[in-house]
Amino acid sequence: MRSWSTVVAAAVAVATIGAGASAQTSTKKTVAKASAPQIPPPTSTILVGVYTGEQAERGREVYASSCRSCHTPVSHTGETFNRWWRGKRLSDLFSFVQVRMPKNDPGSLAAEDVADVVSYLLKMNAIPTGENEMVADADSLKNFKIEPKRSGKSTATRKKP
Amino acid sequence: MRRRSIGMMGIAGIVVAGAFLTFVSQSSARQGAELVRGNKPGEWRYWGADAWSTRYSALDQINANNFDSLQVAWQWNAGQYGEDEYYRTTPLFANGRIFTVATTRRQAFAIDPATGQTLWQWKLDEGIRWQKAPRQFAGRGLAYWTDGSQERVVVITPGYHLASIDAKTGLGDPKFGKDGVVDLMEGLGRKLVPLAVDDSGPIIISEGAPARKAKPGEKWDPVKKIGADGTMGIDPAEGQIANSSPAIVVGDVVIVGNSSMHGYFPIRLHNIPGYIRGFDIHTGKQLWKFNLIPEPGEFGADTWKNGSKPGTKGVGKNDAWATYSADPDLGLVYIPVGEGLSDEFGGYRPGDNLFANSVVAIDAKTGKRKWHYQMVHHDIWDYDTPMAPNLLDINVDGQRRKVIAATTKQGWVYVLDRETGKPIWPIPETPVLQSEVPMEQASPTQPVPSKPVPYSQQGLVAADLIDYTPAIKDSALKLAQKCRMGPYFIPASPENGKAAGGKTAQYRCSWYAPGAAGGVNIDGGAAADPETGMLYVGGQSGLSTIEVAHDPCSEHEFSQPHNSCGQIGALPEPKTSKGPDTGPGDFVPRAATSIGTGANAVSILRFKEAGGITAYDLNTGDKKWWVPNGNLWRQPTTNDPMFAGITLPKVAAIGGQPEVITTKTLVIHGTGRSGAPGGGRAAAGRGGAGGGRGGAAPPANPPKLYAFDKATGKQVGAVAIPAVNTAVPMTFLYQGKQYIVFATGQLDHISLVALTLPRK
Repeated sequence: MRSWSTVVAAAVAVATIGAGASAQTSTKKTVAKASAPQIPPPTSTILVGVYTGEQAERGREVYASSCRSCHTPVSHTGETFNRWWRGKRLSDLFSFVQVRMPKNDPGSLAAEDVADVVSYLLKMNAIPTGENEMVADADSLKNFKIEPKRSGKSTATRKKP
Repeated sequence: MRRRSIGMMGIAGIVVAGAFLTFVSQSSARQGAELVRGNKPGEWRYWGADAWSTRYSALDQINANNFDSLQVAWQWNAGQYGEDEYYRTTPLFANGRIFTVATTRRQAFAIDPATGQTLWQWKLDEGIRWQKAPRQFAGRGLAYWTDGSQERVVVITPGYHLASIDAKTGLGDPKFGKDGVVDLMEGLGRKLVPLAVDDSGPIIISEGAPARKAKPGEKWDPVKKIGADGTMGIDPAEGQIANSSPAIVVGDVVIVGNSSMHGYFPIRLHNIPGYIRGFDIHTGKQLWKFNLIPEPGEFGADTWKNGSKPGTKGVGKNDAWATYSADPDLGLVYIPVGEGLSDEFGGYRPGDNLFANSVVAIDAKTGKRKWHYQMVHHDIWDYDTPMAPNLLDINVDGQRRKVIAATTKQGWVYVLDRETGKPIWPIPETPVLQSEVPMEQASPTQPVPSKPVPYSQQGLVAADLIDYTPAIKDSALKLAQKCRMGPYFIPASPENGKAAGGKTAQYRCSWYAPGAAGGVNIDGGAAADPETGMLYVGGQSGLSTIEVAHDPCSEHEFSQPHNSCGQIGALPEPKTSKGPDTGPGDFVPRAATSIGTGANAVSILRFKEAGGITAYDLNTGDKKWWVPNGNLWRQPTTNDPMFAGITLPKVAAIGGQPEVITTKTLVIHGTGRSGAPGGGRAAAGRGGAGGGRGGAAPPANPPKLYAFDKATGKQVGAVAIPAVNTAVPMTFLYQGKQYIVFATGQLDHISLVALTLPRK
């Protein structure tokens, strides 16, 4: 079941924020919680396989329905992707899509849709798939550093006889 | 035929049986006198049902007693003809045939209403013009014309051609333009040049990777798919011009506008202005042209303080990309106009920028402006007018009034006399907040309707916040005060915190409600009941923030935060740049709209009837009833001790834009593409049972079409559908049966779904 945090209610909140933003909220409770430990640097990278092919395929559907009218693949692959995301955490990418996108209706995607579409973005950037699906929760993605695969030579060259 | 030559193909008469032809010809002979608002009762000849864009049908075979027994009569598989983005078309029904467009190539089709079989298919090969088309999708629909014997279907293609197709055969009208096609890039006073491309992909939203003027002797490279393919067009250096909504027919005149590239974060400081043109349906001859950015010397040019000549910095767009309405008796067409360049920064275009964000009433025969009404001066909120206004005749204070009701992204309905453009209820010019962004000169006032009440959250003020306890009130206010607050029209803040004159800005974000999605946007809009004067608005409500920043590889000093560096056509990256200063960084949103996160998130906004469907009685201007999208509610919960002992009110379960039509007794709507996250997508996605993720629970809100008593707003039906609707539905009567047809899906699983009642 999708989490309430991402439901866009017509009369209520739109951009409810992922856990990555809790340091910015100002309730006593969350401030106390977030001001404690610094988030440790990521110990793993997205190259270990953080999504599945099936998930990316679902993400392609979300992309067509909610993203394609403003984006083309080249606007978030290759150099553009590297420029924006290299060295950041996977949770940053997830939260960015969840909170800022779609531009036309920010916050309107269900968390699972965000995870699927982020998977599709990784697929477009030739990041290898893994056995488990990406979890639809920014907190769980903090430990993965975004490390774009080096220019798409690999598979193409290897296939040559 | 040469590889990218411009050519047409009609595949006619696939399943046209003799009996069917007989029915059609008898029906044709009866046409003419009995039209109501340009439509034959029981048909759906215009995108919005009739010329008035009422989205109303007097049919009542499908009603409260039987709505839930609706069944799928047929599903027309558009995916067999190609892919699309999401399928955003509302088809037409006229004289025994359904007409639609489909796929990224915007092919046209006629479909048998009883069986869902394709009767004919039409398509145009547009070469580079299609490859680099800013609106490469099926679009909102098409137009229909008949004189009682001849019938035409009118399509504007992604590559900006106007086609007149014989509705019976699917073949281009040989008397119209050249073999049924007019090149819409001609007739704008711009030279057409041979086009070339440097890559095989589409254009990018920022205008990156556009086509270009071909070099002398340049050839097509069929392996790399680059070079010049013989296609001619306006030099892309002047800007981009396209279209995504249908033309509208008034008498024998076809009225055509255009859309531009989105203006979120353009690279270039100029673009092609918007134009409205009239064409003769018989010949394709251009009869008139109306400039939506008045040229020097024309009425309204003085609202461009830096000049309005095409090519001037900051001049471009004002494109009327939405659907249109018309009053055939008055001979007027009503054009909802988009905004200038760019969407959220107007520093290069000081002034009110006519005819941006206006409704313009134009004489369909002469192209002369009868009146205009500007709803937003100097728009810096992306409040382009997204929808055909609805026409109604109502009784106001005992007087019969011909009115126009424009629903907008701003969350207001603007009700105007459609003969004069004068407001029915006062819309005073009201002082508004001024911008902190360097160069920006926000309008000192904006017109704010006194009636009817808005259908979406307006800005953010303290009175909007939850206040169950002093501690909660305090927390909500602290979150709200992180960004600039105000009652409406809050200008964007500079993301880098630098205000004009090197001063520190008070804010780095501003509250944005309604946001760029409205209110009403492309997907939503209103249905009007011409019998009662009721207006049913499908819209959404939300709260987000707006800020502008400098894109280091754009000519614009500010735009929505973006980085175009590295794209074909972008400026070279400045040497001093340390990479994007607008990049997402370690992404932390500037503002939270909830106390708590995840399952414990409670919106800082107090519950309000907003978004969903709002019913207004336009005779009085009063709101009559409201339901959330799909009448779906949810109970917020939290384990935050601050909320202990407080029962939170129920709120709308889903957002998105309800897509509304109305009949004799019902308001019918689907949730729209964003209305059923997960559920609709899963079903649309793979068509299989359950679709979505393995082992996951079934979607909370499976795709449905909903029905409400139009007088009371009481839900009277909800019927399961194969996948969420992705465009406004339509309804018609064929051989004694009422059908409801709507588009659904994306990519290669796009279809039209037809519902009808089971045989007794």
